Amino acid sequence: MKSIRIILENIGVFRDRREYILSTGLNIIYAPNASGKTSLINGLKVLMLPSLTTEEIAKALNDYEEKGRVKLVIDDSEFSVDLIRMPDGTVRAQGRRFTEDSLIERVAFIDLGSDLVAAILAGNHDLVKSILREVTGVSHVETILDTLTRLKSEYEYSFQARRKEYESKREVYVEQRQRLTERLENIRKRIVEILQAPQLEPARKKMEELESKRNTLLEIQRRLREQKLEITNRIGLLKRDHDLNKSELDIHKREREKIVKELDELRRAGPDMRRALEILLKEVENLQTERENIISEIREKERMLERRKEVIDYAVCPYCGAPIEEDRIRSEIYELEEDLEKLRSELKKIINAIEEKRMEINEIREKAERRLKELEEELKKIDERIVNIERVLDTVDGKIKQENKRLAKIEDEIKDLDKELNVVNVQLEVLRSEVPINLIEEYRYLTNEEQKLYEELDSINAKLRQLDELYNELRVLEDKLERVRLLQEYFQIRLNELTRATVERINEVILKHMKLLKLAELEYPVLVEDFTLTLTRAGGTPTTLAELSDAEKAIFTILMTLVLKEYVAGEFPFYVVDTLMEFIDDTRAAEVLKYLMEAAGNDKVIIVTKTRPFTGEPRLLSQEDILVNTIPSALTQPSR
Amino acid sequence: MGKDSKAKVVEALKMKGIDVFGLERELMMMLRRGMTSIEVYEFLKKLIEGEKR
Repeated sequence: MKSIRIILENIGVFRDRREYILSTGLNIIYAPNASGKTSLINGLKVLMLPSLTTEEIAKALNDYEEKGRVKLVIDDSEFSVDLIRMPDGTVRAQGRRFTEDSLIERVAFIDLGSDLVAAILAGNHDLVKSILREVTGVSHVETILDTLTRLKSEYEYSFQARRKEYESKREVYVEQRQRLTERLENIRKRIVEILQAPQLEPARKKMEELESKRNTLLEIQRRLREQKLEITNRIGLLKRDHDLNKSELDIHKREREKIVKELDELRRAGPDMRRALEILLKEVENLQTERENIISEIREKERMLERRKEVIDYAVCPYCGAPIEEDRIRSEIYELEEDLEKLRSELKKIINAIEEKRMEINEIREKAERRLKELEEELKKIDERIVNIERVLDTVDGKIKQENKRLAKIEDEIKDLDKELNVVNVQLEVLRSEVPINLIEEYRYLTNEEQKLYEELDSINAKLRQLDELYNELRVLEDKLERVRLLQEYFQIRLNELTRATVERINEVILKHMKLLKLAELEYPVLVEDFTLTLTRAGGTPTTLAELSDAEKAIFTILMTLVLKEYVAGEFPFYVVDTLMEFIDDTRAAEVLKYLMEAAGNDKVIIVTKTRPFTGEPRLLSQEDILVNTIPSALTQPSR
Repeated sequence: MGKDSKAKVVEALKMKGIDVFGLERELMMMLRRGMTSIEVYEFLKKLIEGEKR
């Protein structure tokens, strides 16, 4: 960085345009109270901190002005933020900032508003610990872990509930199946006994043949029923897919309609917007003409004023030789100066008005173009989604059609089998008339029961197969749970690694700044593994933050923020300390400043404010108040 | 020992289609930019449900 210029317009105590030059190395803003030290720092904050609160932004703008600007020019690069007071009294900041890293605020802008400074000054160990964890990123891993713990308990609950449902249902169905199978076996045994009874001898052979045929037909029919059930289930699932896709398609179509409507409205509004823009542009043009007129009037009046000032001390006019009437010329000078002041104030108003109109024009253009682009992109995405869903719907509908065909075929086959079974049953009835009535009645009852039990068994088997789907869901849930468990394990390992490594690294960096630690009258090390501060006085006596003096706390704050900055934003070239030096006695302040001068080297810009005692009238900050790599002599002279 | 168990976890996550190093980078970056814990929850939920990666 060869040159750094900061330009402030209506910022803080400044009600005009101010320009200051900063340099690499240590810049001590050494000026009296209320001269604008903090205003300059607030200007820098507006330019560099993306996460300023609305109050902080409002604080940066001069209370009596409607708008202001901060500009930072570093070599050929320019960064500028405009502050505009809105009708509701809030102040809006817009423009190009030097950085968008939100951590910068906590490690590179050290003032009484900083949370770390407040925690150290208040002697709050727990708060300091939690801020250190946040700034170093360790608390982010804790957030991830907390989230994973929550997710794990949700998945575990859902998994256990489903498993319980699966296991209890399965137990009931398996038991029912066993009971039915036992009953079926007993019935079959009795049927065989009846068929083997001697009273059946004349018709036995034929009956056995028909019975076997009947059993075969029943078996085929059972298999077909199973197939029918499977197909019905599949059709049900496909219909669910169809409905889901259909409703999604409807939602997208409705969204599409809305977008198309908004696009149409926006395009229809085009001519109106153009007309509004034309009006605004015309207004700007008029204002510019007015500005040019006022500028030439000012120039003319300035020339007249200059001439009068030139001739006032002469007895006769050096141009025309006429005698000089001093009183008249003095009154003319007074009038001209008044006119000039009025004209300049008018010019300022016109310039502001031009800028406001230009901003309005840009806002209208940007807003409309941005929205148009957003809508067109959204429309493109929705169209793609609609095409995809329609494709999926076609596939699903095709499958439903195929499955329905298969279902119809199976139903026909079952009907045919029913017919065949009826024929066999009639034949069996005829044969039964030739044998004793009691056996036949029992046989008839048993075969009926057998058929009923088969049907019940089919239904239980189908339920067990449906349970397989629940089992699959259970396995999917188990897989998700395993993912959460693994992620939790990984981030727990990372938390331990990161905490250890960060504390070690921070202690290493603190070691590099031992001089500051000594100035705070503390000994190394400062942090233990879980970020707890362990402070020890020179000599080995343990102490706490609350027991440190204000000067020690201030030096310790500078040390910790320097260390943190080096750890999280080492490349960021600025480091700013506002107000804090006031807590440190002059001797140690001089030592701290010397240390910061060395730390800044040739590539960093360290800015420190320090109050200069009043000498003379109150005044605003000037370039001479910014001392570069020079410690104010008032601090280094002990006699002071 | 610690390194072994970490490597095993990383490998197991890889088998499940999760690049945990990339995930850590992405999450840390988003948290640094101010992502809320609700957003972290939604992000991780989508990942576990298989809607991401």
